[in-house]
Amino acid sequence: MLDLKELERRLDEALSNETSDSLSNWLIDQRKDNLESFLGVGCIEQFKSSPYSFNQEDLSLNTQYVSINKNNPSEQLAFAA
Amino acid sequence: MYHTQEKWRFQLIKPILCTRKNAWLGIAYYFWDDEIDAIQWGHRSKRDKRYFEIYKASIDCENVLDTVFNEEHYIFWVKQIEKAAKHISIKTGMKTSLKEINQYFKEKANWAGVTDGIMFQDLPISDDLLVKDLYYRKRIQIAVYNLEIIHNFAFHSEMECN
Repeated sequence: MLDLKELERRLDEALSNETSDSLSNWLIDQRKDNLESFLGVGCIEQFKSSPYSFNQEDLSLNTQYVSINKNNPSEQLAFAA
Repeated sequence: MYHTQEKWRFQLIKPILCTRKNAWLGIAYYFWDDEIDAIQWGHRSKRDKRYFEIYKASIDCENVLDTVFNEEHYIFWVKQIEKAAKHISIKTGMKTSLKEINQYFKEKANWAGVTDGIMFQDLPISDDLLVKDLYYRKRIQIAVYNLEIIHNFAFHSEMECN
C-alpha cells in the first residue's frame, strides 16, 4: 500500500529547503530543457533567400533549403514515450 | 494497458523507457489505459517509420499513486499540487506547468523512491466521442517508474500512420 505520509513528508522537506534563488534557477533550467527539446541544440542560421523572390530559376541555382539539425537530441529520442 | 511505439525491425520484449526531457510525468515507461488513446498517440507522435505498434501489459498498481480512481489519492494529489504550486509561485513569481510540478515531485522530493508510478488523466483528443463537447471518457495514462510492476508485456497490434 502506497505510503502517502512519506510522500508528503518528502515534499514538505524539499519545499522547506528551497530559497527564491534555488527555485527560480531550477525552473529556468526546466524551461531551458523544454526549449532545447523543441529546437534542438545548435545554431540558428538565417536563410539567404529573399522572401519576395519567387523566380524558380533563382531558387534552383542560388538557394539551398535545408532544414536538418544534426544536433537535435529530440530526433534521436523520437522513439521514446 | 497499452504502450505505443514506432515499428522497429524486431518486436519489443519490454517497453521503452521515455527519456524525453519534456515528458509529462518525467522519465518513465508510459502506458495508456484505453486502446483508442494508444492508437491516437501512434498516429500523432509515432510517425517516423510510417507504422506504429501497440503492446499490451498488465500493471500492478498496488504501489502506484492513482489520481484517477482512488479518491484518497486524488485528494492527496490535489493538496500536494496546490501546496507546491503556491510555494513556488510565492518564491519565484512564476506559475508552474504540469510537467514542472511533476518533475519537482519526482526529482526534488524523490517520490520515485516511494511510489512505483503515477496514474493521471486529462481530456481525450481523439474523435471517438459520441456527444459533442462532452468529455465523458477520461484519457488515462500511467507513468511507471519501476519495471518490475509491468507483467505480460506482449505485442498487440500494428497500424499504418494516417
